[in-house]
Amino acid sequence: MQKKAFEHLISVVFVAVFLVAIYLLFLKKEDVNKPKMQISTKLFEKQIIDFGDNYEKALLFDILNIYTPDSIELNSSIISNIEDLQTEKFTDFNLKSGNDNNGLSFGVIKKILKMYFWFLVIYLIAIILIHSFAKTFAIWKFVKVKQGTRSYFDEFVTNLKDYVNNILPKAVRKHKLNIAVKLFFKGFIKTISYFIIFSPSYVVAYSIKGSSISDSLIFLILLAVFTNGLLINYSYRFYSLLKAESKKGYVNTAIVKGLNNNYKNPLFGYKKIIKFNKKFPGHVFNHIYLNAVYQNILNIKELSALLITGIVIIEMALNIQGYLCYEMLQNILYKNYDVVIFIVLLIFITVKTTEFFVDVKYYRLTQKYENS
Amino acid sequence: MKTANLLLYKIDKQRDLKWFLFYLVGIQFLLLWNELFLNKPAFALLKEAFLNSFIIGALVLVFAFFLSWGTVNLRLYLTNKFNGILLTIIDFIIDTIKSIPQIISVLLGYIFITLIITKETVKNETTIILLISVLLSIVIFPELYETMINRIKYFKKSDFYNSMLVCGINEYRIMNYDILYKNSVGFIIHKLVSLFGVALFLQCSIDFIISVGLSNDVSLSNFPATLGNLLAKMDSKQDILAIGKTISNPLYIIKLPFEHLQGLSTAFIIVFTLLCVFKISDGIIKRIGK
Amino acid sequence: MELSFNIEIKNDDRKIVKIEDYTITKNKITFLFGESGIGKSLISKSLFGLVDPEDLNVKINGIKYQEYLLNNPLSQEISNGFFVFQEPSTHLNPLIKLSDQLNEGDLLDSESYIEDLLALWKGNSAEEIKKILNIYPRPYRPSGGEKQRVLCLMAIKKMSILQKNQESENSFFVFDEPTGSLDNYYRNLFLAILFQKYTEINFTCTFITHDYSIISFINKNYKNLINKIEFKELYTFEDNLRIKKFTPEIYINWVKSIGVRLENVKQISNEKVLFFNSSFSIFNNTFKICKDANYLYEQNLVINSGDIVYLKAPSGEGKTTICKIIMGLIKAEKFLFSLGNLTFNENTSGSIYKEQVWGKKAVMVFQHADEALNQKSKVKDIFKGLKGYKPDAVKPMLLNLFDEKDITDSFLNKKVSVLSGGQKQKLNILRGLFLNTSLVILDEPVNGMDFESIKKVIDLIEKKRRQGAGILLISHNEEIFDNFVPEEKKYYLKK
Repeated sequence: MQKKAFEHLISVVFVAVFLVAIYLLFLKKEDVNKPKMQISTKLFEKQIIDFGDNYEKALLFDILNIYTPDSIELNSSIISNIEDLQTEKFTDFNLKSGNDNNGLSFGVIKKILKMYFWFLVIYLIAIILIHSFAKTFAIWKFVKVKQGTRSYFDEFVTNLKDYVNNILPKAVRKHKLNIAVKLFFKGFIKTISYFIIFSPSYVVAYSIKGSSISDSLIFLILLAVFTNGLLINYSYRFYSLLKAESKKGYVNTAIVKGLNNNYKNPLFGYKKIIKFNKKFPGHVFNHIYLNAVYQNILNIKELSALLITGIVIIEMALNIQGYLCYEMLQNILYKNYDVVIFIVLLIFITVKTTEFFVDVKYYRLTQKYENS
Repeated sequence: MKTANLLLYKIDKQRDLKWFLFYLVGIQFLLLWNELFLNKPAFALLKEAFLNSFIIGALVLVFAFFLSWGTVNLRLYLTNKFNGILLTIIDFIIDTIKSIPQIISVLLGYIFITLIITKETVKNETTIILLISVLLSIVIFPELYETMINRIKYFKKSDFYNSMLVCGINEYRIMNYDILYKNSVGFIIHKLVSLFGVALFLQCSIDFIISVGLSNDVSLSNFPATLGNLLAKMDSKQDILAIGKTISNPLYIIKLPFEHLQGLSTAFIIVFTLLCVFKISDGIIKRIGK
Repeated sequence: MELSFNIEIKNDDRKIVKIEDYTITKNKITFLFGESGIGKSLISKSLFGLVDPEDLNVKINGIKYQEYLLNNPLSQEISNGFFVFQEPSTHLNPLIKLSDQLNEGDLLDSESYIEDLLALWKGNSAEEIKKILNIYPRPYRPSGGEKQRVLCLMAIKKMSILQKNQESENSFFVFDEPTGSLDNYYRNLFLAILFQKYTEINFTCTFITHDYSIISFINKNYKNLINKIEFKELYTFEDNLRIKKFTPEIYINWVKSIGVRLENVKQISNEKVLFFNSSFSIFNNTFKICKDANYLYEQNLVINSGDIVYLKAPSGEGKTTICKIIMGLIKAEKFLFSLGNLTFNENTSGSIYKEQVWGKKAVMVFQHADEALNQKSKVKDIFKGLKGYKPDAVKPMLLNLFDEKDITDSFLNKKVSVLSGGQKQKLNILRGLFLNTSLVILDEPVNGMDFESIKKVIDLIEKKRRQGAGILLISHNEEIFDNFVPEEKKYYLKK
């Protein structure tokens, strides 16, 4: 266990050192201004001609050449220097927006830490929600498969065939048609929900943008949980664990011991599955569930990284002021790479802390099951 | 009729094939619809974006496969040398790449690509596509690497590995031919398919995010057209906003498929591809499981 | 009364089991033998209702499986009965304590079952046994044999509960290789309890096993029950399965015939192939090798060219471990041995085994052919990658254990996974022997084979011996090999 904690720590230190090194070597905001020649700056400040007009620029170039005919190259570099100054005047973000955000300062750090707090709130709530929804969804799917229910499409086709079949009495055919129509709507809703679950968050968000809820915290959390395909991927992972465990030998022993093996019974009604603390006493499923949950603990590590990817995408793509990741994007634009690296490190520490806690929990459980 | 029935029955049994065909049909239908109702320049842009995104996805898979496979063999090579220090270093690096949320690594990588474009004026589209593919494959390959390593561990636990070892069979042959090739191809293909979905998702997301621009010298116009880029264009965003309109004004849904095609088609391709990739990989794993 | 079943089990396209007349004799104990992998467990599981219809396509008496289970003629017997499965390690839940697993479902009984417990764990006090059972089952603790006893205990507890509730007449018990990990002592103990319960409640029982020596044991000690016991064998006949009765005498005479070979045992040469120091330690346990069954005379293990040495030890006590030490697969804390002119101890570097030993001086044939062979490779490719492999060397090698008429082109192109257990084990042995090394270690070579195949393997071992190889043999089929190996070549291992 200590070895694992040590590894996590080394990881954080290593990434921090690496990023800071990259920053110092490549990204430090140098004086973007190339060493401008004094004469160019003087000419530019004096605004002797309209430097946006190409004709007047060419005229200046000719005049310089007449006065100093031996230094044509020098003159042309004076002109290009002036052109650079001209471009900067119009495109420097800092000058444009009046923003004097020039890197990491105490005030900036405080601001970022406040945003980090809300980031953590979203992250923690989302991870708890995904974890429990995924288990519920996976159990529901497992029970449905065991009950032998067929897909909506198959049932729809069967009922439609029965409706068209002239041999059956009219009342039965009408009944089949009703079922078919109901199934059609159910299938339609299922398709829409599939589309929502699989779309990247920005697609869903933009579909409902403009309404009052689109900037709220709750909406962000809902997006983080239900879109990007995260919930369904994680549920499927748990579901495949359930399936794999249900094929193992101890399930047969449980069946033969006379434990309940019937999945149609009220133990698997909606209310029982949705409960937070799930228990299935006296049923074979209890054995399967225990093992699946134990093995699922390590999956939370991957979930954490994926969830953060989702949250980052949501915050950046929706351009919501005041949130951590949007701030990061803005600082990339302002070329304040030190702020960017600070935020990246904060996010990385979040992932690593989650991984650490997961490792601790898994270690404790393993110790218990190893009889030590 | 009979052969058609038999064919349908066989396809129905193989879920992955079923969903793949469904996907092809869906895309064809969409292209046809667009041919009829979308203006020509937008349609051409859509086709180019679609092609570019898929080429990037395919390249990512190729690079990721060779990266993982190469690392696995490198690991074997380094097993008994230098007291295993180099081995620990490799494991450490891969763990770290996995821990950093993918979008952040991609974002940092895009910053670098942007800087390269600025400083060295690399404007060749093919080079940029290659750079993006390499970046995405570095971010994604740890998952494939883990799949391969888990298969090897599984066989090492049983007598499989040892029994071949003591017969004098070369370790590289056991690992590459017997374990990975003969016994793990299904798993590798399944992982590659789901990684295609991940690559597409990351690519679209990062393109959408940087639609604001990562620097004043480099904007979206320097990057090749991809689905994410297309979605981020002003007119596409308007199209998606139009979906919101139908919630308050349900009759609008009739107009929707005819008037807001650019954004809708892009969004549809992205979501539909992700959905089908998921179902196909699910079908593959069911097939391996048998 | 005899019940007959027509059973067909398919896996999508491939037929796995087909038997027209599988018989169960009510109120008798049937010992069912047959080659490993032939379908004994699968047939019993399907009758017990334990096969998953999603995985396999089952038809019993022409009726589809789900329908058959709704009107199962044996449903009463099954709910009163129990099924003891083959691999104890996967059939116990690793996350629930053993004592809890022994006390749930039908086995939930507030009254103690101490006598049954003490009977199976003879020699331990009740407190000690409770301690053994108050843990979560891990791979090495409790041992394989103890786990198997736990499963048997579940069945016995069920029997006791039935006795108490006086519902005993109709019950069906299936034991699938329950004594595979048990030593003869515990095996005999279990059989004694089983027969005792049988005289009390007269159940129907199918006892699946490979251990032919049970026949001798019953013949000697339970002659009074002989008309309540049946011996049957499941065998393949033209792609289908058939079941036949056989008498104990057939086996007993066969075993006697092996002893005749002793006359031909002569030492071939004095060249030392293996020398293993009598004492070694690994995993904080010390082992010693002795000359006698009472572990009084310690002696170094020596194998000369042309020798066959039989290493015996109680189950789970380190036989496979010592083989792995010789092959360099695990590192022991303190050991010393030499192969030919090379010496090895705890300071030897790992690479020497790769360079000098594997496939060159020594080879080991592992126990489970399912794990040791690449299930996806074809029969003709099984020798690929071995030194000296040539495509035309395949058939002559196969002729050592297979009949010429069986080695058809379709057989050579079959994937290993579709072969029977006995065929896989034969290929496993052949692969090891292909290399003509001076030392051959055989770990349970005849596990799961029928008489004919065992004879062939013994012939092959003899042939290799004459060619000069030294053979280290591990097997729990003591009755067979005790007659085959001379007394002075037997060693005993003790922890």
